[in-house]
Amino acid sequence: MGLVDGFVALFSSWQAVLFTIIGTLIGLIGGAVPGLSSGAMISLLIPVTYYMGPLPALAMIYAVSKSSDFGGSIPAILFNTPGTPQASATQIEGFPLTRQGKQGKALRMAVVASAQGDVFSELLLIFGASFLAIYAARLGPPEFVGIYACAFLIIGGLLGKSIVTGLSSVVLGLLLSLVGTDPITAGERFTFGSFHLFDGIGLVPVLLGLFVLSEVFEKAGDTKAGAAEEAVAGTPTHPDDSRLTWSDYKRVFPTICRSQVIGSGVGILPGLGSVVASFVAYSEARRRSKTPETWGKGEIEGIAAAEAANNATSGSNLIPLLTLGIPGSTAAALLSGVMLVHGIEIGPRVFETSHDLVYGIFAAGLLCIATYFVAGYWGAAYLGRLIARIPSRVVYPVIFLTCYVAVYSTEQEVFDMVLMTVFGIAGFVMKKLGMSPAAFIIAFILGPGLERALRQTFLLSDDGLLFFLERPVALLFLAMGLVALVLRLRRSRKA
Amino acid sequence: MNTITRRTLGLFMGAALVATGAAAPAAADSCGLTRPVKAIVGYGAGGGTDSYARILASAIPEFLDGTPMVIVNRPGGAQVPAMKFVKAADPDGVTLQVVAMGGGLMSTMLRDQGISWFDDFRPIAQFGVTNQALVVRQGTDVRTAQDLIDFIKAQNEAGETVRWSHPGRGSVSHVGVTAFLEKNGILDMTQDVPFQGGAGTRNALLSGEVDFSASGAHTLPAFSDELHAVGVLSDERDPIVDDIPTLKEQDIPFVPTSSPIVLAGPAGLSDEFVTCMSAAVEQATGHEAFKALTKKAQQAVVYRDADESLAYLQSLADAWAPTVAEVRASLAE
Repeated sequence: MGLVDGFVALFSSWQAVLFTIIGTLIGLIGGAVPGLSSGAMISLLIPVTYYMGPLPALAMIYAVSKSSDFGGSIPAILFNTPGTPQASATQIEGFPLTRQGKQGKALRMAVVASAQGDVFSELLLIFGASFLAIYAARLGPPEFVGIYACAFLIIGGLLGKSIVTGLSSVVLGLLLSLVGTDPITAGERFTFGSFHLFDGIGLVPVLLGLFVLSEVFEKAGDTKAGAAEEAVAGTPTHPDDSRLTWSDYKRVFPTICRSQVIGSGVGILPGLGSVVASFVAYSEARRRSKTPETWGKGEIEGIAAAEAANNATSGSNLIPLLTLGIPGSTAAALLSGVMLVHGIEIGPRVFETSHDLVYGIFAAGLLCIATYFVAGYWGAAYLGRLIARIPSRVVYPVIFLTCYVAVYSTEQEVFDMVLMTVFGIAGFVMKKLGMSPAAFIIAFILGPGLERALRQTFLLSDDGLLFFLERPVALLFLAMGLVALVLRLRRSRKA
Repeated sequence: MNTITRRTLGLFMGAALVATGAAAPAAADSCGLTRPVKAIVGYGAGGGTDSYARILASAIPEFLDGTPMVIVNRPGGAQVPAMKFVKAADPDGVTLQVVAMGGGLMSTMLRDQGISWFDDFRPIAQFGVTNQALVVRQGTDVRTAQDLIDFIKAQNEAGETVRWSHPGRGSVSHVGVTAFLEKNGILDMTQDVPFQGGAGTRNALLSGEVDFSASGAHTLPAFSDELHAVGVLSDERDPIVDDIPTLKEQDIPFVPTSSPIVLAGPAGLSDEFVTCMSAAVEQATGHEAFKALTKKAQQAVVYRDADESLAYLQSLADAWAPTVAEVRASLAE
């Protein structure tokens, strides 16, 4: 049993156990601080790992990447500011709950869903890695075209006020993603000769601008008397507001299960990323809901969907990394760097050549989940009570400043601060028009992938569009997207 | 932890020496540096070049009288933003760069980036290298570079275009393979398909989307059951995978496409500093920790001093010039 060997390897080294726990706590804190991405934290830790054994080093880095996925949801729920990009879906339902004084419940929902999704993904990694990697490797550019198109149609169709505003948000996002280097010819496009735009428009300024600054602008226009003195968070009025009851959990359990499957699936496919996982799971849960009117106003099911999915990418992300050497996320890329330094030959035989080490990392993953669950579950209620005392006039200026500090600390470019301001205004306008910043951001993130895959498809064959007919999996995904759109159209006609 | 203590101690002792007016011998050891060296890396943390840089930074303070070397990542734009940053820095030795010179030279030769590498920079020392190997899937009849050429010609006669993957037009492996195909008169019989990064390039070959590819030679041992290397695009065998013959040994026309890992600084660095720093790099490459870390990471160590590095880089640039000019013309289309 590989996993037993892994636990033996992990627990026979006190350093490995200690650094897993340290890594978990660093990840939690770093995830919770907007602008400190798990990538930045891992980069800072890489030099330290040179002086550690391979297992403590890798266990620590893996723990940071896992727990920061949950850590990001804390400020998303409490302050409407996602600590990590993947927590943007969590804030849609999380922050309204905080306004109602149910921040304790929201945080506990987030930690429970995160941990469950994470465990599922970890088990998939442990028992299914070599099997699933074969299928992931077979997906070529045409299949990715299908997957991207499907994601756009589902998200664009569901996240806007109407199909028109949703899809136009997607189109705008796609257009914006064209700025930068052409993925095929490597020529410059729409950069206006500026080297700030050479790599395209940065994700962090766009994200913080659209989701956070726009919100601050909206609040600045709130002229209601006394609004500034009110606490951002409501005061819990019922003991259940700070608890996650068994009936709550029972109600959202099926959603968590579906979302963890979505998240793991997205995690296996390199390049899609946890932001997409959380929004797809969120949209799917919202589409299935029998009470769509409660969504957007503080529905814990939405938190469960988003958090289960984004944490479920963290284990399955390692499947293409370990078996094919393809990092599916920034954290996975950094992890592969640490593996490189410790002489681990990532590839199809990694489970044989580095057996104890690889299973030791998996065991560390499970220990990390247990650690952040304990810290998150019992720490959450305390945090929630603390937050309820801070008035808006303190919170919003702090958020405003945090945005600028965060965006500057990412690349040390003043240009990004200007860009964020522009997107803050754009987000404000988009919301007024009923467009969806979330659909926009997903199209923006995935646009280059779609373009690359589409143009690679045309280079791989002389048959042009007919090439898709030879690729049934690609056709299947395209069909799924179209069906979702048609269903949504029919429903909106009826309504 | 030892290193930190040693560094701190070194700094402390350095400060004490300055205070007592005995700075002269210390200054000679630290190459005149009074502040930590910032080594800029044009890629993100965790990549191959970054690992080289960080391993150097962990070993070199001992030979610089305790002066630390701090790695600063400025990723993106094919190392160009990092190069521009270093070019604009004062030539006082505080701001240096660890460059993967294959990509570094090519990105400046392919486009007008406002950088003329040999005018704007001064190499201090080479301390590593990555080589490109031509690879095919295992289980085919293609075993040598000549087999690959024959296969491409046979497919062409059958009316099929052979496709190959690379990590982006203008990358080292793209230019290297293009030059190889052109020198053998078969460039028009193939179609290149860019993928993302070395891993994406390799996976396109593994999954059968393309028929051959170029891959970093040091990444191949992990895939020896799936991939077969027909030859290394270099004059000398790669120190890590020395069982793969070079194309030179196989008498096949090609252009060497090694990517030397070089520590460089802005033009205008003093001769004394360059000589002193180059010696420190040489000592660092002999350090036990450096040897152990690069060995574990399967990174080849090749040392050339400042003059040798300059001559070698110049010879690579000359060899690449004709192919680069063609790729440059195609990018401008």
